[in-house]
Amino acid sequence: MKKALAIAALLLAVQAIAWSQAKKPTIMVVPADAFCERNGYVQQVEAMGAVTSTPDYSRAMKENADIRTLVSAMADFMAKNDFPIQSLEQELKRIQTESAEMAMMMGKSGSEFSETPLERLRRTAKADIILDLDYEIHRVGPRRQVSFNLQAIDAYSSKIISGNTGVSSDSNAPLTSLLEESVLSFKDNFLSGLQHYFDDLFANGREITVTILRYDSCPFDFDEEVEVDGDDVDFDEWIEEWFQDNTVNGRFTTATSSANMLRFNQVRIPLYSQNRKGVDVAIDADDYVKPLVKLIKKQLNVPVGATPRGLGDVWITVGDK
Amino acid sequence: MIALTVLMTVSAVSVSAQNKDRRKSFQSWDNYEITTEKVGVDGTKFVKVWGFGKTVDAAVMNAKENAVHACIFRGIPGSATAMSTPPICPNPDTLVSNEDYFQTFFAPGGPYLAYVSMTTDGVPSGTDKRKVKGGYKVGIYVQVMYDNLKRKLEHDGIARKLSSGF
Amino acid sequence: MLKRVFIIAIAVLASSVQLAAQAKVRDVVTSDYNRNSVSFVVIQRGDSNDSATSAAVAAFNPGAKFDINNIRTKSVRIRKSRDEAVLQTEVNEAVAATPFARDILGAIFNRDSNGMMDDKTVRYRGNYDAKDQDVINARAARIGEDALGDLGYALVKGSYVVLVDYYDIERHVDKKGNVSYSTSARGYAYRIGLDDGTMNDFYEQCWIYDDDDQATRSAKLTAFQNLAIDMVPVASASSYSSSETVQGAASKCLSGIVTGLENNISAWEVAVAIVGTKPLRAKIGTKEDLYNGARYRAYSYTEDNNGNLKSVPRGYLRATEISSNTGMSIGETEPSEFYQISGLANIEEGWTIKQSNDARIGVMLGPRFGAPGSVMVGLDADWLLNVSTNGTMQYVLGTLALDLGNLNYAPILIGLGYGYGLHLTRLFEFMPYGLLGLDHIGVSSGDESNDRFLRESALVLEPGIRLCANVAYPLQVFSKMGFDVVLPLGDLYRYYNNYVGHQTGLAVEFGAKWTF
Repeated sequence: MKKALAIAALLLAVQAIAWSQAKKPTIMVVPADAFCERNGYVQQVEAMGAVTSTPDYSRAMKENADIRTLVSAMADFMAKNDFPIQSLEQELKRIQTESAEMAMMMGKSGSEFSETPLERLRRTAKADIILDLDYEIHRVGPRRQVSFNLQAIDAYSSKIISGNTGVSSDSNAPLTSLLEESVLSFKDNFLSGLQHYFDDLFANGREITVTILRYDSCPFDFDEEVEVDGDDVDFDEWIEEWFQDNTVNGRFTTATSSANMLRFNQVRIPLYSQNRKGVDVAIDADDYVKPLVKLIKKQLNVPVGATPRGLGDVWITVGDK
Repeated sequence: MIALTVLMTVSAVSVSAQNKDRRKSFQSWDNYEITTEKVGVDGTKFVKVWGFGKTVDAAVMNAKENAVHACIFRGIPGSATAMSTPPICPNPDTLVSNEDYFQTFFAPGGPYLAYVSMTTDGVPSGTDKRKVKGGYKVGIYVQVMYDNLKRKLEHDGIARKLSSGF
Repeated sequence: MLKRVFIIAIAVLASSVQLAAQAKVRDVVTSDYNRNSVSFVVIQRGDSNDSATSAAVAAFNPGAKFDINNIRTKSVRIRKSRDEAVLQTEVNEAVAATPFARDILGAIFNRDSNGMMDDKTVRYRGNYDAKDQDVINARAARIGEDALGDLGYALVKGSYVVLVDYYDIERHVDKKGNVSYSTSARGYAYRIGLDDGTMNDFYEQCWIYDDDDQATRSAKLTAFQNLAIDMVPVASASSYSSSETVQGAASKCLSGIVTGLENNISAWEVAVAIVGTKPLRAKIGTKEDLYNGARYRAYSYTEDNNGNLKSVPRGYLRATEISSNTGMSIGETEPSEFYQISGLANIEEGWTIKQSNDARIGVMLGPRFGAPGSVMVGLDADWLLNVSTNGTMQYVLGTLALDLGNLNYAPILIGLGYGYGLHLTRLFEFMPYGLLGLDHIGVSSGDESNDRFLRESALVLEPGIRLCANVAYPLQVFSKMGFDVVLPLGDLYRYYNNYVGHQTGLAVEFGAKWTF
C-alpha cells in the first residue's frame, strides 16, 4: 500500500511538472578523449606556460566517417524517442565564430579560471547530457569486431548516468553494419539508463557543485562572524542556511569548509525556475547562484563574482570579481 | 429448469476456476528460459525462447507469450555480442496494478501476438522439441517487435515515455 | 549346472545391456551437422606400387558431401614391407612429423608465397553450408546475410586428413591367363586440433595485414612456420578390392574406406530434422550425397525433471525421392522424401534423423518344405534396389536351398530373382516375386565333361509371394510361398532324381531375416 501511494505521489509530481511544459534536456554526442588520442585527433594548446594536448573534435568529426555513422545512428533512435540530439558539428562551428570574442575577453580576471575546451563546449552548447563515445575496431584475421564504450554523463555534475560497454559480432560484414549493430546493441540499455536518470531528476532535482573562494581583498574570513540584517552570524553558517532554503528537499553536502574556501557538492537544484516574466526556464549552476551572489553583495557590501565551469560547477569569488 | 441451473452454476464455477488458475499462473509467470541470439534488425529483439504446453502447438504459443512477457517485465539477458535488454516496465508492481489490461493483452489470440513473429524454419526441431512430463518443451527463434511493443504500452499508459515529464 | 550357466549368461547380458544404455545417455544425438573438409594422403612404402597407389588417391573424389582441402602434402613415407599393414602408432609418428595442420590452414586461407591469406574459401563454404534456419536467422539479425559467410570459420575445425595405406597387394592369374590385382587398404582419419583459442592465436600471430611493416611481416611468417597444431586421430576403416590394375584396385578401395569412416566418425554422419510428414521430408539431398535407399535413424528427445536431455531412437527410414540442393540456400530448400521402415511410432515433424549406413542386404535363414525337395534348409538374400515414397521396394533376390533329406546326393537349389515389395504399413511387407534357378543334384563321379553340370541340373521357375514382419528391426520374420516348376535339363538329373524325388509343386519357407 505504501509503495502504491509512493508511486501515485511520484506520478502526480511528474504530472505537475508535465503541466508546466518544461524544457527537455538536450543531449550531445562527443567523441571520447581516449578515442581522439588513439586516432590522433588532438591539438596542442599552450596555457599558462604549459603545453597540453586537448581533443580536436572538429577534426575528428570531419575526418572520421565511422563516428558520423555512429552519431547519426544514435540521433535516429533518440529522435524516435522525442529527444533530438544536438549536433556537435554545428556547435563547434558556432564556438569557432565566437572564439575571437572569447580571446579578447580572456585576461579580464587574470585567466585564473580558464575552462577546458570540453567545459567550454558543455557550457556554450548547454547540453544537459554528454554522450562520451569511444569505440575501437579490432581485426581478428580477416574479420573485424567493434568494441564500444558509451558513457552518458550528466553535464552538471559530471556523474556517469549510464555506461554501456560491449562488442559487436566478429564478422567480415561491412564496417557500417558492425557499427550500427553496436548502436542497436546498447540502445535500449542506454535509454533505460536515461529513464532512470530522469526519474531521479524529477524526484530530487539536478545535482551541481558550488565553490566559494575568498580573495585577499575580502575583509572577513569565511569562519568569521559577519553582520546580516543586524544579526551576527558565521559566514559559513549563513551560506549553508541559504542552501538549506534553496535546494530540493534541502539536499546538499558541505565538502570543504575553511577560512578561505567553502565547497558544496551534491547540491540538488530545481530543474526550472521562473524568470522575471514568470516563464519556466531551465537553470544551470550559474543561474542558480545569481540570487546568492546578489545577496552576499547586498548584505556584506563586498565585490562578488561568479565564474561558471561547465553547467554544473560554479565558482563564487568573494572580495573581487 | 433445475438441471439448467445446475449446469450454469457448474459452468460458472469452472470458468471462475479457470480464471483463478490463469491469475495464479500470471503471478508466478517467471519460469522460462530466454536468450539473445544476435542483435536484431532495428526495433526488434532476436531471441531464442522456450515454452511448455500439452501439445507442440501449445508450447509454441507459450514460448511466444514468454518472449513478449520477457520484453515487458523481465528483460532479456545479453550474449557475447549483444548487450542485455532491459524490461519495458521495470517496476515490479506493473503487472499486479494492471492485471486486467495484461489479462486481455495475453489472452489466447490476444494483442501480444502482433509483437512477436516466429523465425524458426517450420516447426521446432531436433533438441528444440523435447517431450517432458505432461507435454512438450520447445525452443523457438522469435523476433519481438520491441520498439512497437514499447510504443503500444506507452500509448496505453502502462509504460512511461522517455520524454514524459518534459 | 545348465541352469546356473543360463542364469549367469542372463545376468551378464542384462548388465551389458545396461552399460550400453548408460553409454547412450551420455551422447545425445543432435541434428547439428556441418560440412567437413578432407584431404586424402597416400602412405608410400618405397616400392614399385607407390606410383599406382598415389595416382589412385590423387584422383579420388570422396563425393559432394565433403569439401576438399587441396593441401601441399600428398604423401607420407613409412618404410615397411607391403606384406603387412602399417600400425596406428607408425601412422601417428608420420603424421606428427608432417605439418598437416599448417598445410590445411594454408589451403583453406589461400596462403600465397608472400604469406598473404584471404577468407574467400571460408566464406564460400560458410554460405554453401548455411541451412534454411541460418538464412532465416541471418535475416532477423542486424548484420544480415553478410554473416552467413562467417559460418565458414567454424567449419575450419571440421578439417580432416585421411592417410591411406595399401598392403597385401597381390597379383592373380586365372586359367585363361587374365591378370588381376587385389589389395587391402586401411584409411586413418585425423582431425585438425583446433579450438577457438588456437584459432585466435593463429589470426593474431600469423595473419598478415596489408599495412603490416616488414618486421611484423617476417615475424608473422616465422610464426606460421612454427605453428604447432596437433592432428588428432579419430578413426580408421578397412577395405578390400580387386581390379585389372593395381591403380584400379586401389581406387575401388577408397569409397569403402569413406563409408567405413562415416560409420565411425559421428561428425561425418549427416543429421537433419524432419520438416514434414506424409510423406516424410527432410532438407538434405544431393549436397549430402543422399541416394535412394540410404538408411537413416530417427531420434526424438525427452527431458527429465532435472533437465537432462536424452535422445531416444525411434526407428529407421530410407531416402526415396532425392532433391537437388546443391545451390546456396535462400531459405526455401526443397526437401527429399523418405519412407519409414521400422519403429512403432510414426516419425514426427521435428525429430532428428541421422545417417545410419547399411549394405541394404537382407539375409534370411529358415526351413523350407514342399518343392522341389520335401524338407530343405533355405538361405536367402535380398539386395534392395530402390525404394519409393509410397513404400514400394524393388529387390534382387538370391536363394540357396539344401535338401536335408538326401544329403548324400547333395541336392541344392540356387536361384536369382526379382521382387516387388509393397508396404501397407511399415511393419509388414508383402512381396510378389519371381525366381529363376537351377536345381542341381551332384554326386561325386569321374565324369569331367563340360556339360556335366547342366546335365545334373533342372531349371526351376518359382513365382511366389513373401511376407515379412518387423520384430525388432533389423530382425524380421518372413514366410514365403512359391510354386516351383521343375524342368529337368539333362539325363543325369532325371536319373538321380529317381532317388531324390524332387518335383514341381508348392514350396513354403519361413524363418528370420537380418538386414546388414
